[in-house]
Amino acid sequence: MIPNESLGTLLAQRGVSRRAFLKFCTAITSLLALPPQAVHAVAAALEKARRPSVIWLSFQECTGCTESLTRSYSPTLETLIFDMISLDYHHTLQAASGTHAEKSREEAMKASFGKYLLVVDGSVPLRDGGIYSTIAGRTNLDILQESAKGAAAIVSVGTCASFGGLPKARPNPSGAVPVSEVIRDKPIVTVPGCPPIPAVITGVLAHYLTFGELPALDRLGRPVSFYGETIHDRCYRRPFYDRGKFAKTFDDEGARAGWCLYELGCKGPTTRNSCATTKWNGGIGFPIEAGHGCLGCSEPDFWDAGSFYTPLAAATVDVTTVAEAAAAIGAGAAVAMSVADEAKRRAARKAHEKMTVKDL
Amino acid sequence: MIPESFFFWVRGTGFQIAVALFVGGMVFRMAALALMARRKSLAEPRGSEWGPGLRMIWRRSFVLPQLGFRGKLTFVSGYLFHLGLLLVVLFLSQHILLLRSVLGFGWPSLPRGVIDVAAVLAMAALVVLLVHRVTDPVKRLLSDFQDYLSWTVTCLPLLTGFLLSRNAGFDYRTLLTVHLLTVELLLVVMPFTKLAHMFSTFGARWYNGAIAGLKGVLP
Amino acid sequence: MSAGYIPIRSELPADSLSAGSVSAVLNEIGSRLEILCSSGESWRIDLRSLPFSAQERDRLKALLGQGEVVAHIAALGPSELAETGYAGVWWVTHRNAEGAVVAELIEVTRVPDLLESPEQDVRASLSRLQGAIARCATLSEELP
Repeated sequence: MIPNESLGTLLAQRGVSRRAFLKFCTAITSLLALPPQAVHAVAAALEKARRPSVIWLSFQECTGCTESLTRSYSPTLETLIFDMISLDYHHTLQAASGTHAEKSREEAMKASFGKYLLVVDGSVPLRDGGIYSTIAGRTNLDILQESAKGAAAIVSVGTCASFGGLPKARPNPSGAVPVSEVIRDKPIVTVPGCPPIPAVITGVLAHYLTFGELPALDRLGRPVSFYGETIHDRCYRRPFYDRGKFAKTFDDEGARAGWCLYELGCKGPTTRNSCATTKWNGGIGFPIEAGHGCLGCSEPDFWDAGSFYTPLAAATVDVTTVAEAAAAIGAGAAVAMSVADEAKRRAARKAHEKMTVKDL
Repeated sequence: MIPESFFFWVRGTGFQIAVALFVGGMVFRMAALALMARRKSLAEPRGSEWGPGLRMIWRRSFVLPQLGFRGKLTFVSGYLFHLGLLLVVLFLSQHILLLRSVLGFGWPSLPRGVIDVAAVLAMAALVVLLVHRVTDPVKRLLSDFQDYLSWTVTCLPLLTGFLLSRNAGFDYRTLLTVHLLTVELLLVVMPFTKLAHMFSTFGARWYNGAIAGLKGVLP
Repeated sequence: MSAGYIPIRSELPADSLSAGSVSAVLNEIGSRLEILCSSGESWRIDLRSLPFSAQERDRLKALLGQGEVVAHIAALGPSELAETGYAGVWWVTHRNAEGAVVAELIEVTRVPDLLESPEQDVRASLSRLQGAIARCATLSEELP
């Protein structure tokens, strides 16, 4: 396919009717949380948009992010958006391998230098010169630095690329870091989640296609339209939280009646993502709907934030031992002080009694 | 918004430090009070110490009839505050979760509505007490920096906790971080100020009663 | 498959349905219907953008009721455009090929514009039909 063709022409060639295209635009508009009156503006922009070249790099990752995207049942609107980009390098999905694969990446970089989108999933190991993850004999660090030079923007897909994720979890043996700690001179969008919601990945791409620029981002580089609210904010079990009705175990009466999972360790209140509204598996549901609390997988260092089943109100560290040791030290200090005090008094009394007749 | 790592610190290391200072400091001060070197009384006791000691603990809890309006106000507000604080600290379900994770056991919680009322009453009582402290010339003269410090560090956790339970103003993480920080501040300050009365007050009353009992001056 | 297969029943207390957000949407629909009457301008409300629970959505749908027209579109999956009990207020549900809802809107309009045949498609069909007519004509000439 020729990357210079406009999307309108491409879709017409594929036999997508105008009505289908407008429906698609309605879905995109809703996905991007744009005012629904903007459908026709989105349609006009998408029609004229050129397919951007996308280079997808996979580093220290489990391919779950790619699975999330490609396992969405086809043909869906997500895959349609995916068709709208020219995916020039993705070592899990491309047919070419070895030298040819690396060559296609170099060619794509040269052909649209300064214009391509660089998508990264996985973290980058830095320890020992970055030898813990290599592709074609080159370290991830090396490839990332080279590929980032000509990128218009970088999309960090998944928690690993966004915040370091599992590879960065204590004790972080490979010295893993997120993309943002290697590349500092390019705009970076983070799409965290383990894995991220497919619609969110495609939503970012759709936004870039529609407007030719990145969506509004928060402090951590996350698109505000998808990460603006917490799971807790939009949770259908929220009314139970507000009334203090909590499931105490996973199989008690409260759990069966769908009460709030806060006491079972739900991290919904501190997790920003759109699972509660966009949902998973073609809109069937999200973890809380299946009766399990949120793990907070799209938050930085979620793996090191204590047990998944520790409630947010409880301590994540051993406080009991600390308290016992402190009590022992406190008591010891008090006894020592009182002994010293007593000794001083005795000494004083003794000194006092030493007065004898001679002195008088 | 507050960076995530700080939130983790407040829930982890920060909490450990605060608990260590609170427990260590409190045990030290209470033990030091109990072990305080006292001169042996050589006088023959004119009465027992236990009965009057216990009676004093009881008697000091009811001083209402003797008081004027402002005194009564202090008395009622004081009771409301302490009762409200006790209910909120020990019977909010989230607090029981925390205590269970530290103590290893828990107990049933009170409904949210009751806790809300208790928190509002406690905060209102604190405000009344502060206003009284500032407007009453004698109390104002008697108050020093420590009194205002104690008031502030006691009021802050109540206020931030109330905001947290309402999800008011900021996001949950920020509110929880701030709430935990104020609680940790309170824990650190408590053993080393007059807030240590949370443990010493009944012992001190007993001591007063017991001394009087030994001298035979108490009914 | 739907969420109904998951054996968890959620029993929200009846008074937890904040009537506030439902009546707010009803008010917006009302004022938009007024504008439709006076100037003919149509309006859309994206139901996903509202902080609605499933129960509140159901309640709104029940309040609006069912009208005379239900139209189905098969394009990238099924879509249903149903006029509610209030003429001029349409409940529009777009699904993908899997049946998952990709957009749900309330349209305040006389006819949702997706129902009209698009200009480009009409033009393309004209040329296709002319071709068909021409083929038909040659076919009948060849017949004895």
